[in-house]
Amino acid sequence: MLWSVALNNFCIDKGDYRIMINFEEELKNFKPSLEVEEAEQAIYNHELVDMTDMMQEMLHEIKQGI
Amino acid sequence: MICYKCGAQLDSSESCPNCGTKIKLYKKIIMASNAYYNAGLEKASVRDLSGAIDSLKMSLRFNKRNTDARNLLGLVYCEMGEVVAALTEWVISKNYQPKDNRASFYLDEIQQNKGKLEAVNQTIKKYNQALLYCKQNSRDLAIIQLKKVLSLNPKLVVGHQLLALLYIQEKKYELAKKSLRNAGKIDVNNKVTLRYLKEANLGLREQNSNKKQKSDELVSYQSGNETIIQPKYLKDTSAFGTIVNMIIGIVIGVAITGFLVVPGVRRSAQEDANKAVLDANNIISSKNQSIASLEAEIEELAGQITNMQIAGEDVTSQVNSYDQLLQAYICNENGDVDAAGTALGMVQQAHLSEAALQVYNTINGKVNEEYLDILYKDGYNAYSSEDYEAAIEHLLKAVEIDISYQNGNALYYLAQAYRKSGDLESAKPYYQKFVELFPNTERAATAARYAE
Repeated sequence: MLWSVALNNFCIDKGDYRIMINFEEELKNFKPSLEVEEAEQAIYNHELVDMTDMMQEMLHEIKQGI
Repeated sequence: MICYKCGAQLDSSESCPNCGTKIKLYKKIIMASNAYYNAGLEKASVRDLSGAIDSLKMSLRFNKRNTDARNLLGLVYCEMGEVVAALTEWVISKNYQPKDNRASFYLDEIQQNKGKLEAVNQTIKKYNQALLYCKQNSRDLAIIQLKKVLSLNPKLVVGHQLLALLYIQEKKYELAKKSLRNAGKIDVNNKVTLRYLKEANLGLREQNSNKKQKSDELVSYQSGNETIIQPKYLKDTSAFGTIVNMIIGIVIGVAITGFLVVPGVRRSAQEDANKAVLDANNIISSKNQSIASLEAEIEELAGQITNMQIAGEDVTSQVNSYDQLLQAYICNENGDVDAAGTALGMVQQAHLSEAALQVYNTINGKVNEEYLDILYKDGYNAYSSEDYEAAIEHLLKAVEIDISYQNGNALYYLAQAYRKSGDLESAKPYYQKFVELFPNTERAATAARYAE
């Protein structure tokens, strides 16, 4: 009980302690699931840049700047 | 660990032994990736799948070549029902590390079971269709579709969550909770599941408190030093009340039985009885008809028998008449007039043919005269000898042949024989006949006197 009250102090709207689910907003969070036919495209579109790549690019830019 | 530039195996130094590239920062990146991988593995082992996904994605952001992290991420996706996402990760993993990669085993497993993959693909399509229904505000269709999807692919966490959301919107909090519990079994710490569960619990509490408020009116009062709080409408749950309720229940049961069940049973029994009676009547009627027809047949046959008997009797009588005629003829030839006359008396002229009748008439003409004479003489002699019995016998025969024989003497003496033998009653008709036939004779007055 005390935890819920403390938590609700961080809520923007303090008039209502109850968490209301907005159906439409929640529905937006649900994305269509990938089908088998879309697998190939998903693989191609996959983000494959990691920190190592970013570090290499940064170093490259620094070297070029120098 | 290998060098990101030349691919050489690295050691503990801060630069690559092969190309001399500074690798201190690179090592830190790799270590961070591994740390996130470990966290992801730990979360996956306690079924915090959504937490594991976050950690593993972070691990891959640091090092996209972290094969273990990618394979584990694919495994987690597969466990949550997102098979195609899992396939994507494993394909990428195999691409980065073609040899000695667990992803090959996972991909082979799926390729060998193409039917199952197709089935899972269909469930995903149905899920997407259900999501479309939700966006089109066809919540009922979406619920039906999601139920189908989850029956085929019960591991689809998003499916459970979407169904729970729909139930919460419909205020069916119990069903929402059930769906969320199923999602929670797969992914225990999923934030969406926990948030929806909290909403469902709050909703249920509100529903129950509304029901409670309508009936839960309390009354409190002081009794000495004690404060007594009780509901306003206190239900009496004492034994007496229970017994009364039982009695009421029994009465209602008996009434229902008496008014609904018994008439029905009686009606069906009556119908059966009526049917049996009808059948019996039909049988009786058919039997009566056959009896009537048999009786008619019997009657007809009896009639036929009678006719045949009559015909037989006629034939017998006819034969007898001919026999007697023959007897009469023989007796006449032998000179036995008495026998001939007796025989002629037994002949029935109606049974004789024309020829036989002629013979009869011939014999009768000859015999009659003599016979009558003999009869009269015998009768008179017997009368004179006071043998009235013999006199009656002979004179009766004579009167039967010729009632007026000897000017009615045969008739008169017959009557006299009867009277003198004591049978006046038998004599009276003959006296009467004599008076009728011979009225103006001396004997008629005497006969008239005896006839009265």
